Amino acid sequence: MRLLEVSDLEAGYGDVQVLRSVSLHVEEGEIVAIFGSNGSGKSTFLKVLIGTLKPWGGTVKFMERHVEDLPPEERVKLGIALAAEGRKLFLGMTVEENLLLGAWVKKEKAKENLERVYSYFPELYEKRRELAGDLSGGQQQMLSIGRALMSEPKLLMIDELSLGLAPAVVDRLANILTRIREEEGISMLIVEQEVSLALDISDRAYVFDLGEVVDEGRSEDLLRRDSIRKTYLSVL
Amino acid sequence: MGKYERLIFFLLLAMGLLPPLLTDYWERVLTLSLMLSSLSLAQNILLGYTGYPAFGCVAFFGIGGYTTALLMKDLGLPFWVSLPIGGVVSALFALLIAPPLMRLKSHYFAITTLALQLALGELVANLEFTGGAQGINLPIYVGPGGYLIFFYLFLLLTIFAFLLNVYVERSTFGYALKAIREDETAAETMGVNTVLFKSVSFSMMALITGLSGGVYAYWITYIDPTSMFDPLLSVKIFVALLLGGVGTVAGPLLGAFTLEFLSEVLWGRFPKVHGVVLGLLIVLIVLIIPRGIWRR
Repeated sequence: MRLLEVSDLEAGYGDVQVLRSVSLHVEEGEIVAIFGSNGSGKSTFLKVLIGTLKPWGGTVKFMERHVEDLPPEERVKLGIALAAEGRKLFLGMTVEENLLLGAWVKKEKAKENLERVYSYFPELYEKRRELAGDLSGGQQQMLSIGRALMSEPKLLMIDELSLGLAPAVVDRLANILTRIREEEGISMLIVEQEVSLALDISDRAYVFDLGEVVDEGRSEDLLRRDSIRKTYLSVL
Repeated sequence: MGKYERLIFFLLLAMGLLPPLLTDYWERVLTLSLMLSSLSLAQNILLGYTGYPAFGCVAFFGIGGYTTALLMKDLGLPFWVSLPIGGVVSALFALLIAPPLMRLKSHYFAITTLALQLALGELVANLEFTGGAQGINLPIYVGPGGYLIFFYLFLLLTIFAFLLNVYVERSTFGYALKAIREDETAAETMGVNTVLFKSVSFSMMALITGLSGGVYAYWITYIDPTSMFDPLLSVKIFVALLLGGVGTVAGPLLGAFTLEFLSEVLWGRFPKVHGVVLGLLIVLIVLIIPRGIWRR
C-alpha cells in the first residue's frame, strides 16, 4: 500500500517559492532517501509534511487520507514523526523528559516505548537523567530519532541524518535504522547530504534541485548512473 | 510535592500564625511582600516555564482591580463576589488576546504587552464609567479581622499561586509548557498544541495577577489609572523574579521577599536615591547572579 503520496506540492516562504510541483511517494516498509545540494528544498519539504509550514498547493495523502490541512498534532497522531534538522532538542530538559515529550500523543504507551527506544539506544538509558544539552552530537542525534520513535510512527522522517557526526557514529545509526525497519516495518523518509550513505541505506531515492525533483529511481540503479556519480559522488 | 516544595508550603502556612507578633509596620511590609510573591509566581508560570516575558503583566492587575472595584461600586456587589469575577474577567481577556499576541516572541512579546498595559491605563483614564483620571473610591473594609484580612488574602493567593507553580513543575501540562520554552517548533513537531498551551499559561498568569489587583484595590480603597497600571510594578515583578531565580518554584518567593525587605530598608535610609539603588541592583543581579539566587 502507498503510505505517503505527495502530488504537485508547491510551497515557500513569503514571496519566495521553494518547492515546485514536487511529487513523491513512500510505500509501506520502504526507506526512501532525498538528496540534493543546499537550498534545494529538502528541509522545506519535510516541514510541509509534518505541518509546521503550510503548502501553497498540491496534495499530501497519508494512508489514503488527505492531510495537507491538518495541524501537526493530528499528523503525529496519524503516524508521521519528524527528527528535525539540527536535532531541535529541548536542551534544558533531561534525556528522559525529551523522550516523554515525544510520546505526547501516545502517553498511555510512554513506558513501553521508553524501553523500546532504550533497547535501540542503550547509551540514552545511561544518560537518561542528564540534560540533552550535555550530550555529544551523536547521542543528540540518537535522542532526536528516539524521541520521534516515541509516538510509534508509521513514517519516520529524518532531516540531515549525518550532519556533523563522525563516520563511525553514522555507520552505527545507519545499522540501527535498518534494524528498526526490519523489526517493526517502519517506513522512513531520510534527507541526507552524503549521497553514498543515502543510497546505501535506502531502497529508492529522489534527487532535489532548486525545489524540483530532477531524478528518482531505485538506489542501486542511481548508484550506477553516470550523471549521479559525476555530480554527487565525484567519481569521474 | 517534593521535599523542598513541602517545606515551602508549610512555611507559607506557618506565616499565617505571625500577625499577633507583628507591629502595623511589619504587617504592611509582609502584606506587600506577599502581594509581590503572588505576582512573581504568576509571571513565573509564563516566563519561567513557558518562556514568554509579559513585561506588561500589570495590565491584568489593573483589569482585575478595576473590575472588582466597579462591580462593588456600580452594582453594589459584595467584595467576595466581585473579586472572583475580577479574576475570571482578567483570565478570559488573556485567553482571548493570547492567540494573536503570542505569535510574537521574546522582546517583541514583552514590548507589546507593555503597550497593552499603557494603552489600557490611558483608556481607563479617559473613560467615563471607570471614573477617569479621578479614580474610584471604595468603602473601607470594616468586617472581622480588620485590615489583617488583606494579609491573609494575599497569603492565600500566594499559596494558590505556589501550588499552581508546583503543578506546572510536575505535571504533563508543565512538560508541554517547558517544551514550548525550550523550542516551540520542536514542541509542535511532537504533537503539542502550542497555541492552546501557551494561551492557557498566559491565562493562568492573568488569573492570579487579576485576583491580586482586586485584593489590592480593596486594600488601598482608592484606585486610579496611575496606581493600577503602574509600569514600575512590572519592573519590580521582573526584578523579584530574576533575583530569586526564574523557572523554579522557590525563586519567585525568595526574590519577592528579598526585594521587598531590601526596598523597605533602602526606602528608609535613602529616600531620594531609592530608584537609583533599585537600578543598580538590577545591573548587579544580571552581572553576578544571572540565573538568580535559587538556580534551576
